[in-house]
Amino acid sequence: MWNKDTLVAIVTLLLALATWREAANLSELAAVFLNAIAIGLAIFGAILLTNGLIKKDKTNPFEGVSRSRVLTVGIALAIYVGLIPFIGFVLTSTLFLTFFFLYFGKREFKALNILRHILLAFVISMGFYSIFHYGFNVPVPTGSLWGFL
Amino acid sequence: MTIDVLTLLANVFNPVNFSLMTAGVAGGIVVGALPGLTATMALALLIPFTFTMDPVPALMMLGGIYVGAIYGGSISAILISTPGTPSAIATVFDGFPLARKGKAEHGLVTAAFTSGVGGVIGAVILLAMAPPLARFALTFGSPEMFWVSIFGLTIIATLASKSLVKGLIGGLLGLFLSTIGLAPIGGDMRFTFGFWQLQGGIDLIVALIGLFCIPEVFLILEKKGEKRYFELYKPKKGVARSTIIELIKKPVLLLRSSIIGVIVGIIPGAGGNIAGILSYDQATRWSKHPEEFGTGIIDGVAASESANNAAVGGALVPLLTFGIPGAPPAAVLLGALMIHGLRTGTELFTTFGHITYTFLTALIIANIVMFVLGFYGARQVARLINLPENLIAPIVALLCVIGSFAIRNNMLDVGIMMGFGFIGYVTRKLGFDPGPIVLGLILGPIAEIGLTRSMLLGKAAGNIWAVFFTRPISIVLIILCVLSLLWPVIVRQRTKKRIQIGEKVSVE
Repeated sequence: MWNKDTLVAIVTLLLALATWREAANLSELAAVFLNAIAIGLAIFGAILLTNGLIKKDKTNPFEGVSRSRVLTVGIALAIYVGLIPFIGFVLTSTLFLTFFFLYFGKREFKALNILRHILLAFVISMGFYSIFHYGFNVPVPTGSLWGFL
Repeated sequence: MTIDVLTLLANVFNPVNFSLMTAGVAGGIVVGALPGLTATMALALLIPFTFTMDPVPALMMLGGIYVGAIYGGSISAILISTPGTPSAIATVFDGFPLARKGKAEHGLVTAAFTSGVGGVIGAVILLAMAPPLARFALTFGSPEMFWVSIFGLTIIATLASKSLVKGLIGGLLGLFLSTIGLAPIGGDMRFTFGFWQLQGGIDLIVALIGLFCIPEVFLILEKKGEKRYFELYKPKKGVARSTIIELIKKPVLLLRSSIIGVIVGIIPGAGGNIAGILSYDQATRWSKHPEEFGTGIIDGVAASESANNAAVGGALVPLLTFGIPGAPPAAVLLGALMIHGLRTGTELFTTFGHITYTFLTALIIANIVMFVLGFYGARQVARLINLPENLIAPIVALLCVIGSFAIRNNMLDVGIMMGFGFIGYVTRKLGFDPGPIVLGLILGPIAEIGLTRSMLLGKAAGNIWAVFFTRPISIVLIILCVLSLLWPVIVRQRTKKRIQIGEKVSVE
């Protein structure tokens, strides 16, 4: 019974229900569009559920994908965004870029190679910081621990 | 008031004016190419530099920035699947697959050439027909805007290449996301979960960056092995010239896309993003090989880019004639006009005619300058694809962070962008295209405002249905919606017939 289409259909139907419930607490004018969306989601969710149950497609959507690599990218991105408010854009970006260069590169963990990558990561981070902050006067996230970086 | 062409050209090619305009175009291209920095932002950032200038060079420079930024958005759309500006959303659909095939130069040259063509056509139409077109645009009320948005949503049939049902669910998901925040009419708070930052809704650019860009970071790195995600770009002589010759052989595509761009640009609230998507949709529908769209063909890039640059001219029509900006960057230009003491309306074409017509002529020249810069820069920019992928992926993520933060100076937007990125990656694996979601997000506010205002109008008039279904422009739009929905069915039937005839012939 469970395949990617039935799962998506169930999530769609749950979203339709949540939208309908939210609309119930709103004024008529604010709710009319939400109700239309909820009805649409319910109809197409039901169609997808029926399709999923009839076709019983068992293909794995993540076939050929390295789960460890996807997890590493996901966790690294989450940590990157989570750390910026504390240690600032330049420092976090330097750490983030260095990790990607080393982990997804040739994995040569010699001191000189690591140092080279740290330097490259710092130059890139600082370069983008300068372009946006000084060049275009656009705000770049700063950290609460070290201020400007 | 008569102004001769030679005087206009002398003003435009005055060394100081021309240099400032060229600098504006170059600056616009750079800003537009950076994800998160829009044409509106480029204009707003550079307006202070024009405070002390005379009106003519100031407007020429700002016009150059506008034109350059809209084209610049295509560079990151083609190279890293991130529309540098919202106008380049549809450029991603075929531009990025071209880059992945090692044909980034084809995509970039196409973008430069067709942006130039679209921009020139838009500016010429603006120069020739501004007042009557503006009067037509003003006949669009709330019911018409509602039907325009519904017509826009019918494009999902084209964008959802994998599954129509999933495309429609994606579109509804986009509409749902567009309702987050303060209701436009009624003022209720919806789905904000206590975050005051969400009261203004989800920013389109934040969602765009997340849905298009972060999934690519995953896709670049998700597989082990030596095979590259991007094929290496190998520069070949004559690519640029042959691409342009190929494009010149498609005058109908270029003209149709540019006219769509101008019309959409004129309608207030519908900018280059909608123009690009609508034009892409039409190019797919009229193509003999619609199945090739989305796989990396220059026609897709040409349709989007000629339309979004033509929309620049379109957006200036209601701005110059009535002071109503057709798109957000045009609103910033309105500010610039006021700063320089120019009042929009008839006076702009009479008392200040020498300034206005010089500005409009400069827009045409700015498009040519933009083409030259894009043409000669394409090969150098395309080389970026050859960088190691473990270098490209994190730099893309870094740009995503800066871009999403820059919009509102808000870390929650960065978190939302990342959330959209994760959702975008998973949904792509589950067979969803990001296009319909983005389309829903763009058209949601227009559809909701159109629907609720029309309902209020209908209640006041005592007949809601009459407001929606009896106004002449609404009827035309409803017919277009029905045709748009039936078109894929008609094409499928025709293809089936053709195949059956082909089989019969081969059997005989």
